[in-house]
Amino acid sequence: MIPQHGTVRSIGRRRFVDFSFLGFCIVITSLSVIALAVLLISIAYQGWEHLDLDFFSSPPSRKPEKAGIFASLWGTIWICIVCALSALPLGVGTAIYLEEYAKPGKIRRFIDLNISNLAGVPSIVYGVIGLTVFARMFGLFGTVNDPAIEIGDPTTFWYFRLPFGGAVIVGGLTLMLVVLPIVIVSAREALRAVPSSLREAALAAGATRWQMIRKITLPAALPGIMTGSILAISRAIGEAAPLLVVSGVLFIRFAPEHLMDQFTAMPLQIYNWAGRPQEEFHAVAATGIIVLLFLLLAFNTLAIVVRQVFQKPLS
Amino acid sequence: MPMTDPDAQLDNSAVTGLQRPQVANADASTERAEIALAVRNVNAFYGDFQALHDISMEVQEKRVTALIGPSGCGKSTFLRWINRMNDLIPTARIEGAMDLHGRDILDSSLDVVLHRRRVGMVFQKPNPFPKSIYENVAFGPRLHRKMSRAEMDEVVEVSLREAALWDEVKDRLKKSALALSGGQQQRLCIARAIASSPEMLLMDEPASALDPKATARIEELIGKLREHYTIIIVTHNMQQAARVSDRTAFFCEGRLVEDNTTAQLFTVPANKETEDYISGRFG
Amino acid sequence: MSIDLPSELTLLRRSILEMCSEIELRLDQALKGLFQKKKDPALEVRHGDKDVNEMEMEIEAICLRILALSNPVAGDLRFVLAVMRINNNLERIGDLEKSIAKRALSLIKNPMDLPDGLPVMAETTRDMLRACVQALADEDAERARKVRQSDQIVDDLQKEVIAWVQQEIPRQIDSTAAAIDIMSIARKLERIADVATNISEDVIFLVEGSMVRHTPSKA
Repeated sequence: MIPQHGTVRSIGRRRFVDFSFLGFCIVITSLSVIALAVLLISIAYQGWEHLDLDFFSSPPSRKPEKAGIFASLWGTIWICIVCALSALPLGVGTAIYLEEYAKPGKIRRFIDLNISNLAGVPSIVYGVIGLTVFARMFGLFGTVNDPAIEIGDPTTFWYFRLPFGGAVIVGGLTLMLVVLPIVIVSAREALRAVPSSLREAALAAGATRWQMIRKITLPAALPGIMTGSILAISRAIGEAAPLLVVSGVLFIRFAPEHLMDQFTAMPLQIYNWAGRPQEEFHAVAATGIIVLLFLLLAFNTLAIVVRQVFQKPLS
Repeated sequence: MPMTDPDAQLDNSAVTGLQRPQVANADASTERAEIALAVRNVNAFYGDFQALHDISMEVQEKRVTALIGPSGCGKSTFLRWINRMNDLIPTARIEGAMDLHGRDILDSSLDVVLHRRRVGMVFQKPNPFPKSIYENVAFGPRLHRKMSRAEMDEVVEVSLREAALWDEVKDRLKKSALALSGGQQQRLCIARAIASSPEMLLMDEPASALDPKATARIEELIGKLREHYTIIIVTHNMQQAARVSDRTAFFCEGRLVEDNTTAQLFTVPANKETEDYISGRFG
Repeated sequence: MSIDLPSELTLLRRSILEMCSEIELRLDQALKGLFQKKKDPALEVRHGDKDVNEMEMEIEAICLRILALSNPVAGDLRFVLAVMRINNNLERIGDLEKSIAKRALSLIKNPMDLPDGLPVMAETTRDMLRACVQALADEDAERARKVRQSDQIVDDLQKEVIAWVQQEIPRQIDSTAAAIDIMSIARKLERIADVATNISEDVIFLVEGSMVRHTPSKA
C-alpha cells in the first residue's frame, strides 16, 4: 500500500492556475496577431490604390503615379534563379557529403560547428565578401571598364565578362552565400531523418554507398530537402543589405537582360521609394511591400504544400 | 556423456536414434550434410572490448542453424560479420577466418558489395523501403543485373511466392510497402532478401517484433526456405529455436559454449551452462 | 514462465519419493504377512490400494500441469518424463503387492512349508526396490545399473520355485491350493523385480538422457 502523505492540494486553485495560464497564452498570441494585423492592414491601406497592372509593367520613374516594379521584380527573379541554381547543388551536395561520407571525428565536428555559425552571420558581411570576391575578384582581372576577359558584348544574351562587377550574377552568388548554411543545415536534417534501418537494408542488399544514397536515402529525404530549400530561397527574396553593397547603384530602371547586366531587386526598390521625400512615393513603397509580402507568402505556402503532399512515412 | 560405458556407446545407435524426440525435420542425415560456412578461431573486437572469443564452428548447407544466448553474448555480432555489416562500425575489427564455400569472407580484399548479394539479411524490425512492393523486391536484382520488364516481373513474382506473400499482394504490387501489416512487411523483407538468389540467409530475430500468428507464419516459411537456402537465425526465443532449427549453437559472453543438433541440445545438453540457460535459470 | 517451475519440480520430487516410500512399506507389510504369518499388515495392504491410486493421479496431474504451462527442456524435461513413467510403474507394483497380500492371507488360512528360494527371492526383490528408489533419490545412475543386474538372479530363483511347486503338488495333493498360492507369489515377486528394473532404466534416462531399455545389462 502506498502511504498517503501530506495534504491534498486544492483542486480549485489548480484549475485556476491552469485557466490563467491559458488566458495568458491567448493574450500574448492575440497581441502578436493584432500587431501583425495592424501592420498588414496599414500597408494594404497605403499601397492599395497603386496596385494595378501598370504597377507591374512599368519601370520606376520620377513620377510616383507612373512608378512600377517591373525592373525590380525581374531583378529579384533573376537573382533568385542564380541563387537557387548555385546554392542548391552546392548545399545539398555538402550535406550529403557530411552526412553520408565524412567520418565522424574532430574535423567533421569542426565543420559542423562552423556551418551553424555561418547561418548566424549578418548578411551584410556576405555583401562585402560578394563585392570583393565576385564583383571585384580581388582586382586580379582588371576592372569592369577594362575587363581581363570578355566574351561577346553587352547587347547579346550570352555576354560574359571577368570581373563580374555589379552584375546580376554577383547578386545571385552573394545571396547564395547567405542561404547556403541554411540549405546545408536543413538538407542534413532531412537526411538524418531517414532511418538508419533503411540504410542498413540497402547495404545488406548489396548496394554501394552511392547506390544507397541515390536510390534510398535521397528520395526519402527529398521532400524535406525541397521544403528547406524553398524556405531558404524565400529568405533570399527579402535580403536587401548584401545587394546594396554589391550593386551600389539604386536607380536601375530596366530588367536585366544578361547575367552581367546591372540589376535592382524588390527590397532595394522599396528602400529607394521609401527614402524619397514625396509622400506619394511612400504609398508606392507600400504597394511594393504588398507585392513582396505576397511573393513570400506564395513561397512559404509552396513549401508547406510540398511538405504535405510529398512527405510520406518512412517506416 | 561418459563414453567409456558400453551402455552409453550403444545409446548412439539406431535404437536411441529412433527414440529421440523429432524436431523440425531433424534426421540422421543432419550428421552427413555439407559445410556451407567454416568458422575458424574468430576473435572480434569493438575497440578494446572483445566481443567474440575464439569461435570455431561449421554451419551446414541447406539447414537451419539457430544462435541462442543471453543479451550481449555476441550472437548478433557474429551474424553481422558474416555479411560484413560490421564494416560500417569504425571500431569493429576481427581476426580469424570464415570460409563461405571455400572463400575466406573476412579477408580485407573481399568485394563486400558483391559479397552481400551472396548473403542476404533480414532484420529484427521489418524495414521495407518507402516504395512500392514491386520496387522493394526488385531493388536487389536491379543493383547487379540488367533485366527486361518481363524478366523482372518474373523474379518479383517468384520471390514473393517463395516468401509466401504473392497471393496477398499480387493485386497491389504498385501500392506502398508501408501499407502492409508487420508480418507482411517482414515476409516482404524476406522476399527482398531472396530476390538476389543468395547462397545464405541471415536472420536477426526476424519474428521478435511480430504477433504470435505472424510469428508462426514466419517460422513455417523458414521451414520451407531451408530447401533452397542455408539459414542462420539469431533468436531470443528458445522455443522458436527448438521448433525451427536443425542445429543450435549456444553463445555466452562471447564464447561458443555448445554447438549441437537441436534435438540433442534440448534433451541432453553437454554443458551445464547450456542446461541452465535453456531451462531459464539465467539470461 | 507462467508457473513457478522450480517449486513445481520440488513438489513433484517430494511426491514421487513419498509414493516410493509408501510402495516400499507396503512390500514390507505384504512380506510380513507372508513370512511371519501376520494377518493385519496383509489386510492393510489389501485395503490401502486406494491411497496408492490417488497418489498416482496426483503425481500425473502435476506432471501434466508442468508440461502444459511451462516448456521444460533438457534435465527438467527428462525429469518430468521419467517421473511419469516411474509413477505408472509404482502403481503397477502397488497392484502386485495387493495380489501378494491376498495370497499371503490365503496361505495363513491353508499354510504350507515355503521353499528355500522364496525368502531369498523376496529379500532380493526388496533390495532391488530399495536400490532403485535410492538411485532415484540420489539421481545415481551407477546404482540404477546395479539393479538391472540383480534381475537375472530373481528370474533364476523364480524358476527354482516353479520347479519346487511342480515337485510338491503331486507329493502333497491336499496342499495344491497353497502350492498354487506360492507359485503365484513367486510370479508376482518376479514381476516386481522386473518393474524395479524398469524404474532403474528410467532413472538412467533421467540422469544421462540415454535410453538403455532393450540393451543388455553388464554382467
